[in-house]
Amino acid sequence: MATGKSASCSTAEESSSKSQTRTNSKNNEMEIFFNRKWRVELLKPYHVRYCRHVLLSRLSSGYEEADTQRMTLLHFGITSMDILNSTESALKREERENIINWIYHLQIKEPADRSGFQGSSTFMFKSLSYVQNGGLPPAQLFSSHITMTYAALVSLLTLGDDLHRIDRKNILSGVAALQNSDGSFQASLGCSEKDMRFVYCAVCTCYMLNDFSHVNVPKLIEFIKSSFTFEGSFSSGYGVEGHAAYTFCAVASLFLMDRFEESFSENEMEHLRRWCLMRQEYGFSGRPNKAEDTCYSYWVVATLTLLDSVHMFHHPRNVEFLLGNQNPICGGIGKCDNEHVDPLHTFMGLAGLALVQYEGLNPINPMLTMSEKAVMHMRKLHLRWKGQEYC
Amino acid sequence: MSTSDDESTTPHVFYKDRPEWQDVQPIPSDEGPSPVVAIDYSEQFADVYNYIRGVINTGELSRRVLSLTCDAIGLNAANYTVWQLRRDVLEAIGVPKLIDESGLDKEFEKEFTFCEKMIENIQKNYQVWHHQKALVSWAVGYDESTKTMQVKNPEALDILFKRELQLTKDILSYDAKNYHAWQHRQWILSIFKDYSGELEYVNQLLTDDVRNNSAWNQRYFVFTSMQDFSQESLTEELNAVWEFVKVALCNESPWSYLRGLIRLAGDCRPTLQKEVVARCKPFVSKKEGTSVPMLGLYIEFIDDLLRNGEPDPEEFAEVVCLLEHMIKTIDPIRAKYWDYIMTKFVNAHGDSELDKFTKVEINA
Repeated sequence: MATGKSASCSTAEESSSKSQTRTNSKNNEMEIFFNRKWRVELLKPYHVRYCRHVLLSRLSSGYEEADTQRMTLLHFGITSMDILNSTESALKREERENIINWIYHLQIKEPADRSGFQGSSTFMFKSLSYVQNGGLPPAQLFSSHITMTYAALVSLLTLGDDLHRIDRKNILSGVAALQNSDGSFQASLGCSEKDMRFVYCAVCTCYMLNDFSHVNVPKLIEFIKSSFTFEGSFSSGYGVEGHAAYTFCAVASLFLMDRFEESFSENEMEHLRRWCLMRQEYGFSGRPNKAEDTCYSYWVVATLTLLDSVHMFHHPRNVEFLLGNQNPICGGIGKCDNEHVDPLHTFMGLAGLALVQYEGLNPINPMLTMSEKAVMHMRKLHLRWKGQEYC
Repeated sequence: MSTSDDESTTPHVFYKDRPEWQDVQPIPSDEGPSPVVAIDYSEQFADVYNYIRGVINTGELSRRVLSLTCDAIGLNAANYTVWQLRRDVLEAIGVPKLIDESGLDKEFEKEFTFCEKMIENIQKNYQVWHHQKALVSWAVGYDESTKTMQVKNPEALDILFKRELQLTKDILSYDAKNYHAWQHRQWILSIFKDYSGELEYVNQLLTDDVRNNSAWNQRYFVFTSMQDFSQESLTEELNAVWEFVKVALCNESPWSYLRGLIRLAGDCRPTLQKEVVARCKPFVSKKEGTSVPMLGLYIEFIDDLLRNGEPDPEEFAEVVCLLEHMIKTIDPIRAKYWDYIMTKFVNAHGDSELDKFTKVEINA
């Protein structure tokens, strides 16, 4: 496998590779396929190749439905590569710079209440007649989206960017402008769609920019607490069924604000712990009596990590489930066995494996959903910003 | 109003080739100098979105823009900006009107039908449900901040209330756990403040599939809306639920429900906990009693009762024995968790139980 690794990697990167290498790679692929090797080992070079494909090749028109979320696809691709320790080895310097430039291309710097990032260039009106006439489309048609702001910042930090091209103060005003009177957050200005996902993205953004003073923290916590269910999980909002992804968003948000322990009784914490642990069969499900899915091996295990309970479930079963969902031909991970791979599940699968310290993967931070390496870089920036006025 | 109906019969004509659109300047997407995560947009996608950008740029809010948004949504229903543009147009051309006893305004009705069709086609898309919520809010004049409706006529409200319940029921007949449909249904029940028929619906769903956790959640939602947590009311509900518990002892959902239900109780909590423990007892000793969620609740309730009441060496010993059983045979994948529960349990009660044992021995 060791020699095969470099062989398959090079076919991905250089289409003009030598025929010998191609043959080796082919043999290697056959071996993996017929010996069902993907069930017992992580096909790292295949996933690196898949992530490069997501980031740098032209995705098929089937991805049109993800058009407004290209920033999140980028986040999944780049963070996956980071977990695989390959952002520098598999991406040329120029390619990394191109990615950074593209992210900044989607930044809305002003007015302050619209500040942040968009998910794609579909509605970037920077250079249009609106702007030339000194105006902008109405806010509900042209403003940042909180999930994209989160994904952009994580991606920039992952690529080692020093964030000097963002307007920190305006982005924080943009986040504040999205908070609703019940403490929750809407996705984008004028859009009344609101739930726990946007709460998490807002909290992460404040954390990454090291400033919670623009948002109403007590109200935010009130909203999170109101979404705690009788089952011991969290839902998208009051009354709705508990769900593992929303549970993660709620718990991680409270930890990021350092308000978890004071918000819950020991009894409630026990309910939460039990609910999370009961989600395991082999992998994890997102709700009781629902099927397992790769992504919950991140959402649930990250929550358990925060609750200091990562040792309480069965790791080998979880790893076996995740490895079984790999695609041994094109790379990537699907939501379950024999399912199409996609960037989200590839990322969640790798992040889930990183949480259980799968060999050779970079550690991931279970609060921010980015690598510890990127978190270290972020902390250095925080120190640099200390005492500085917002620029 | 919409082009979607025409599409099936007539071949698609690009907007750039339509004479009635010649006055609009199409605007290509500004990808910047180095696009990444690029998508190979189809020619139709690029054409429609070039015109969407064109009309946003000029600020046009007209009927033809409404039909343009229909095409754009058809190509990407997750594009929240296009949905927003559609709502802006609807408002600008005066489509939304308050409902009265004769029903929805004709043109507004068409918009409801359009959205309902979209929901049926793509049932798990956030935007379609969000749009439906906006339409309902317009029709009844709902104000989120005050949680009040402008429309007061009960007949008029009833038309819409039934329509929305039917819509969610239809969607839940495809997938009874559709999160979006449940969320919408709960919102409808809460703004119309009418939960009267919901328990019957929940019972029907639980009869169809007792493992439907969404239906159990809905049961809790309905029960708590009644705000009666007296011992009589809770006991009545416990009796009703027990019929579903017995059907599948290993089903996690009803045990969670019972835990939630009893947490609502005030002073009568220990009484209800004892009742559940007593009802579990016959199963615990039998083979079918190896239900992880049942034993989990059983142990938890005994733990609670011991904390708040008299020590009971027999129950203490039984729980320790059950936990050992859980660790070794019943639920080994969570062995470390049950081990943790065992430690907590023994630390909490071990000494007092030991004292009592000692006392019993001394007395003997």
